[in-house]
Amino acid sequence: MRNFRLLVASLFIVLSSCSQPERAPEEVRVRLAVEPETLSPVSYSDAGALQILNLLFQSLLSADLADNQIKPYLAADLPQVERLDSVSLFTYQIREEASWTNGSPVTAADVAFTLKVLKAPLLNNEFLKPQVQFIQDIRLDSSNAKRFTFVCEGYSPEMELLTGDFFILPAYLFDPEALLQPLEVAALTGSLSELENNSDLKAFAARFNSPAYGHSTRVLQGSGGYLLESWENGKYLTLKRKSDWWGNNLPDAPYLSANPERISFQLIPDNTTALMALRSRQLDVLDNIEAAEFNELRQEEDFLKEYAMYSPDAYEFIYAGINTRLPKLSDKRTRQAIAHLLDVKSMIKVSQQNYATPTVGPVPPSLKAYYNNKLTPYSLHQKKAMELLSSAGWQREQDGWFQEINGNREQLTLEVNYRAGSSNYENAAIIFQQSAAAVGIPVQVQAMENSLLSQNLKAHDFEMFFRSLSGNPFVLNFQPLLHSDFAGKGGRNVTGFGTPESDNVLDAINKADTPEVKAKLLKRLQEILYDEAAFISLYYLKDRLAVHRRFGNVKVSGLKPNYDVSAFTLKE
Amino acid sequence: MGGYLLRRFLLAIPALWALATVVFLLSRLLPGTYGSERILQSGTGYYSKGSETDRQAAYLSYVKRTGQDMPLFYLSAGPATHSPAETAVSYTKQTQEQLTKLSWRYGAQNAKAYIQSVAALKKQWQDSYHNAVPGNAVAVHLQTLQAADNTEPLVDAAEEIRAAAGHPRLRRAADNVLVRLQAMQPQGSLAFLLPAISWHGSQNQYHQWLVQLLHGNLGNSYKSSRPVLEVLVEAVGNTWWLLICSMVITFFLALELSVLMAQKKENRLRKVLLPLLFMLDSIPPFVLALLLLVLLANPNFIQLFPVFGMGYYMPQELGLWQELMQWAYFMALPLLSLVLFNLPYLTSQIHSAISAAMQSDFTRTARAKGLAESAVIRKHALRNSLLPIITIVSDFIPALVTGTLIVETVFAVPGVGRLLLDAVLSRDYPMLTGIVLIIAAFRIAAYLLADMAYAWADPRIRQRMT
Repeated sequence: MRNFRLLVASLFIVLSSCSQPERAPEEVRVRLAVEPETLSPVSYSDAGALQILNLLFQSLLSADLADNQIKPYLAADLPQVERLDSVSLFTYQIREEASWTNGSPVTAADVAFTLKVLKAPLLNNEFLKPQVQFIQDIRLDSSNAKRFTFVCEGYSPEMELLTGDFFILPAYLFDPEALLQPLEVAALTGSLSELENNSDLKAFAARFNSPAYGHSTRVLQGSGGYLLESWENGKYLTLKRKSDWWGNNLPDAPYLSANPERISFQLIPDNTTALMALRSRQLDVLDNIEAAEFNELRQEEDFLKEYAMYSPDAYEFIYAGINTRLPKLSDKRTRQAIAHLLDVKSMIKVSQQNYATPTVGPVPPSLKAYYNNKLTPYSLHQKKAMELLSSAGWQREQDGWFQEINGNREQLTLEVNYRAGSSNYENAAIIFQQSAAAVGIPVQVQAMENSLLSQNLKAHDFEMFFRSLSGNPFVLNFQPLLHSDFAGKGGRNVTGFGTPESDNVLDAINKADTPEVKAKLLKRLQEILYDEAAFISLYYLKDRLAVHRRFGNVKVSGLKPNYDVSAFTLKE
Repeated sequence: MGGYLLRRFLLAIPALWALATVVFLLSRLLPGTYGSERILQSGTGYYSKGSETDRQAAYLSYVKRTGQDMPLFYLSAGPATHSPAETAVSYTKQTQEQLTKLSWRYGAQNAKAYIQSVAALKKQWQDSYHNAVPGNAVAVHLQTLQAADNTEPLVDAAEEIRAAAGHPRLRRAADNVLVRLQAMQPQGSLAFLLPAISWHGSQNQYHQWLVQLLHGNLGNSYKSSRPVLEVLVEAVGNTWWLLICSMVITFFLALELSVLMAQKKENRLRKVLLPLLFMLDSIPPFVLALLLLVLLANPNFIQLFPVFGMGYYMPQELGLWQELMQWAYFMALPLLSLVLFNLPYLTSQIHSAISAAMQSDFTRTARAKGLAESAVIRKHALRNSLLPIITIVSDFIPALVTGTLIVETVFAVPGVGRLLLDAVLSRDYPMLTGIVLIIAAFRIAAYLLADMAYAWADPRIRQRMT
């Protein structure tokens, strides 16, 4: 027995002395919550994969997280846009210096190849295909191998961004036998049934759809500053900086960067475990920290000495939708009354620990030029809610509010749906339930599986729901969400919101030429939305992350992934 | 004995087949598929990437490419007025609606044949007049054919197209549509009560899957398009040694503790140990794992172990010994939690088996012979209480491949438990059926091993088997 005790004691000492593995200072270690299913640049599916792909490949345009502006990455400049009757033309020039891993230049032919891969049948490209379907053709410049023009169907404000928002693939690596060479981009629009029997395409598809094209370090080499060094399934991925990358030190594009020598993405599925790893200094960056934990970390001086904490404004907001098609909810005063029972302040406090900003509409409050600050966000106001209910014709009786609708006596009750498994929505729904109960409206709260919920919403089979929407500061196209053209079954305007004026405003926003006109229209839209109270925006979220202090130039932003790891520089 | 085992083995094959079939068919009944979740649900936000129709078209081509447009099984049954659900996935919303209406009026079989003939006509029209479009009239009539739900306008439209058709192939397609339309007779008012059974032949998902399976191919994962078997072997490999080590340690501890507690003089130990194990057993595994993590890998408390899983990226190559040490270091906490999960149950089972044996006549005889207490327990009582222990051990063997979800999640070990959960959540059916099949195979193998172990432990059973 004494021997045993001695053994335990010595084991204890040995273990504490070896403590944590030593870290190399030039390596940035980032947590990955979910392992990417594939790193294929045309069929990636999650945010983690996108972040990694952004280090390996480049798109023509991208957002610079330092100032949240769209900037030319692989392109030398923003595209020249020409709007004709039924088509619009986007002309790009690729950077002179841009080259692939083997040193050969990135050319317009690579862009044409990428378009073929995105649009051809039989290939595993269905995830990205819809977003480039409007590009009908590409015209190459015969005198300049780096210049080309996209021919696009119609015009919408997203197009400028979408034409530059896909990764350009190296044709020499992805299609060494030039099987797609004879294919025309223009032939890939419309009926593709004949192409499905094309033997070249079949041969290419057999290879392209194989797992190697989403996993192999040999194939996944783009024009970006990093190479995929290793991928240990279920453990980590590491990226190594290219030794002599063309994008370093471009005078006109300092935002193109590949600074850390090595970036490793460590897979840690559980949040508590990730937090422990951060506390034991085994991670350099951790995002999506729970609000309560974030506050706790902020109290720890030792921790703050080594880590800087950030809470940037994100571009995701929580909103409540009310089904305006139901007779009992068709009067906007009833809906306004409901809006006055949404205690946004408590919701933010409970589920976000105040890391959120109340908003009057879907335009982010951080976009000061477009945000309508003349309105005040809806807040809890029971007296006003009761007045509004009375004016809408509801009678207060012993057990609730009643009204004669189409000859039937109906009670004002609500069923609130939200996606199961998310505490944000659950808290919002329960807080609403309590404040509605205080004025005598019975509210039933019902969580739902995500796909079932979206099915019900599209079929207009709901009374009220909580959901979130995300976007970016570049494109504010609310047409599919709010225009009455999209209010049919299966359309995205599920609340049925829409007045003739709002439809006009939405059309005009997409045609606005100057920021001033656009600002005016967007502010008007927010007023109408506020007044109609069918699509009630509650609050914009903030992201929470911690970054080790030995790094500078972290470019924290509200845009995902919230920081630009390629820009990190070692201080001192 | 050999004959007996062979018989058991042969009996196991149909059981495996039945199990896999049920899992295959049941998993497809989950709402939503992998593709629909990803392609159709992707456009949420005010930066919309692609229109609804483009997404729908992309989804249809995905379904076709992966063979999910085929019927699920050899035959399907349903009311004669309803179109079978599995055919619905390969049509657009509009066509689905039309199909439903036509089926209700004229029967599902007829309606489906009609829809297919119209699709053929449309394709013919697109192919023959691609780009050089002389026929706006044809386009209008085609639209009628794709939307109307009554035979009269449909017949009119088809005849118009036939008259306007310049191409003989187009005319033939239009004729075909007319033939289908003639076959569509209004249904009786109670037709919806009659079942209709349709036969799909070997062009169905189940058949394709089964044929592949017989060739030893479990298919490819929808998510990563990697072969299921490869992913599975990798995941099992990650937890294999961890689970074996934990089992060996747990059994050794459980056995030794039970033997210790069976001794008369250790009465006090038993009084302390049993309630302690009982308490340990009542802590939920998830809490236990997190407790260990928070207590033993916390820089604010005691930091003895690394926080998670399978190691960090190391720039330099490690020697075998170093690698082993590193593995042991990283696996210490998962190992400890696995041992603590399983120890209480095992110990109490083995302890009660030994206690029962200690009461029996042969033990008294052994004592009367004057044997020492430990010899009585180890040589006589333990040998006779082996049968229930073997049963418990054989129950633990399948866990080698099923992994342990909680330990895998908390300590970031990529094992089968997490793989299975991910497969269910993302509707990765090939993965799901593959995992279940492998687990079932292991379970059957475990039973066979248990049978052999019974025979080894008890001569009476050996006698009966031969």
